[in-house]
Amino acid sequence: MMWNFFIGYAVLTMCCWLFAGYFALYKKKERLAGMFACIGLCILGVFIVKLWMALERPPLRTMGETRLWYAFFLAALGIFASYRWKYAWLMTVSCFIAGIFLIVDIVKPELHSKTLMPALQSYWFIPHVTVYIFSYALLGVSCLCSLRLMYQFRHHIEDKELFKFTDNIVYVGLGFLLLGLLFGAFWAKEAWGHYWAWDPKETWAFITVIGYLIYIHMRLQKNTCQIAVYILPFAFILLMITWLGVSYLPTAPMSVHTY
Amino acid sequence: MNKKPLWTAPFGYAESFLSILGLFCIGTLLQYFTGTFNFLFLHNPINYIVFGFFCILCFFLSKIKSPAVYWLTGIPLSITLMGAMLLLTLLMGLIPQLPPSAHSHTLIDKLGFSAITRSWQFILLYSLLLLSLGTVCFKRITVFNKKNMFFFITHAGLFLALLGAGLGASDMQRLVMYVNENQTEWRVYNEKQDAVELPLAIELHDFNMEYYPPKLVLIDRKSGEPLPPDKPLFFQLDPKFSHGQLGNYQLEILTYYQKAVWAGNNEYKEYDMIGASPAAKIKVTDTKTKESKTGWVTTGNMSQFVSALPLNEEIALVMTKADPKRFLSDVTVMTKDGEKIRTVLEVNKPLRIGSWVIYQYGYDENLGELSPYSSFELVYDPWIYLVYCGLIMLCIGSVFLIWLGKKEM
Repeated sequence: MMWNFFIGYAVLTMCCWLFAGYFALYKKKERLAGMFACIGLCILGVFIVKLWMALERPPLRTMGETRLWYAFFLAALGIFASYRWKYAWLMTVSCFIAGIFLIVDIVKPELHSKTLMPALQSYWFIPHVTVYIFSYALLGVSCLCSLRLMYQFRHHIEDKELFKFTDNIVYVGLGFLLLGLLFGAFWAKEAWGHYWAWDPKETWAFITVIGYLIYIHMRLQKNTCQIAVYILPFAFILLMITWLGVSYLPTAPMSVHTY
Repeated sequence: MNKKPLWTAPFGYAESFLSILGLFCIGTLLQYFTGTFNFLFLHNPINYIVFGFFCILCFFLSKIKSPAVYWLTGIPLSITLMGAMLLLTLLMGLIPQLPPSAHSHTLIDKLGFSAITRSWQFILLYSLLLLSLGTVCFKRITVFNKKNMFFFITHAGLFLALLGAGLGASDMQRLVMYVNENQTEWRVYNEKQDAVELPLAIELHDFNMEYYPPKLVLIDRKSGEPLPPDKPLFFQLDPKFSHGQLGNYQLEILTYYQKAVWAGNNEYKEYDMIGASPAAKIKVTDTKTKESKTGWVTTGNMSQFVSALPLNEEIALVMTKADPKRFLSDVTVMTKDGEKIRTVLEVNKPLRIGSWVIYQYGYDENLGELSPYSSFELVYDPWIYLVYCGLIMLCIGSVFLIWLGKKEM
């Protein structure tokens, strides 16, 4: 029933983020922008907490619920990046994309029932999903950075700081992605008897990890360190297929991860 | 810049690409003419011998100072290998994979693309990856500094996990045992339906289930299909909420019992016994005509009737089958050497006994909590320790990645 209030919370959040974008881009008032972005984030955070309490289970089961967390983490990372490294553009774009995910949740309502099938009732459930969604948000940010870097290449602008930031974000994102994968493996061993079963979702998670590993290794070599940036958008597409696309693939019927 | 002729040191991307392409072609030919790789061939003790041989080979390779070894442990080969692995796993992610028992018919099957993990191409690339990883690990094992520690822990972790998973696959046994209540079982049936005796036995004392409250849904009385047909609406019963809406109908839940039995006279009463089913007394009001109806709806089971509440000629309100919340088996597990453990097995709470792990697997889903048996999956995987050692090293490596980012590496 809490979900009925979602549209109110989402609209309020998005209004705050619109103000944030306006102040950051047109008025160049970063502090005010940051404040609005934070208020929006808090409103979304309150909704997630209230939803958790109303459902009496972590709201991490359905696609819609994971999108909610993704929007939260993406906006949070954008705000953090703008505070820590003064990337106001990143905050604006992150909040904009987070807003898109909230809109998807508004137009695609799902049944958010309290039921949690026995296999999901595990202490691995929360760390596995949150760590994954957090890494998706980080790697989403890295994808945005890579697009900006490509734009800069084209206009012969050199921005070493952004390159360094992108690398760091990929390292941290991959760290979380690997942790999510490993937690999943430990959980699978406990729930199904095997840590790795090449379930389509697992296969795609593996593919995504390889994508980012290729980026990291290419960055270590002089002759490939520039073109490595072009890997990131592709890796992010693989990630999106892993998260949202697997259910639509011909291999989906064999998956235990369709939800 | 002068272009370096192929196959002159130092080898780079071109040589890596050609070698991997060559390996892939050899794999494809082997696959086409000999069929999928048979993992059972690696059964104990062969896998232990291969493990030892592989480690020794990597160790010796790491001591050789030649351009070929430099290339084997270098970044161009690893990137090309990762690219090849990415393409192979992409195929796996797009083409539905067949179980080992399936026969190959199409060209895709014959080329191994519908069973990638058992295909020769995969096995050869996987072996090269392990050779490269293993050699680089031995090369760096003696270098002690912070940067190297991160390198070693991630690469060695991956090496151990991949090697253990591959070689352990042939020793792994996964069997399903069905045990009737108040009986002891020590046999399982394999694919040929032959009884196989195990070194352990399970006695099932009791099988129990807990359910979530069921949902309410409107159905077409003629077809029995839930409404609306394109996207049925459900109302989740919840003791906390007494009002709800389903399409044009307003619902008021007057009484809800999680466990109820028929009490005669069109009434249900709360009663906790085996065979009791959820029941709700509901007042349904049509928001258009303001007409209302009151009556009981129940899920029903083997010992209780199903009750629906007809709203008009076409539509009735019914209760769905409740979703299981938990299913648990009270068991005693006995081994041949006299060890006895009494425990409750449920999903996510397996029991480890010796080299075996026992999982709650299933029950008769038509009968639910009335199921006369419970089934258990028994898993034997002696290589798990090596794999877990690798996975834990990778976990530590991931924490390093998060903590240090790029700058310290």
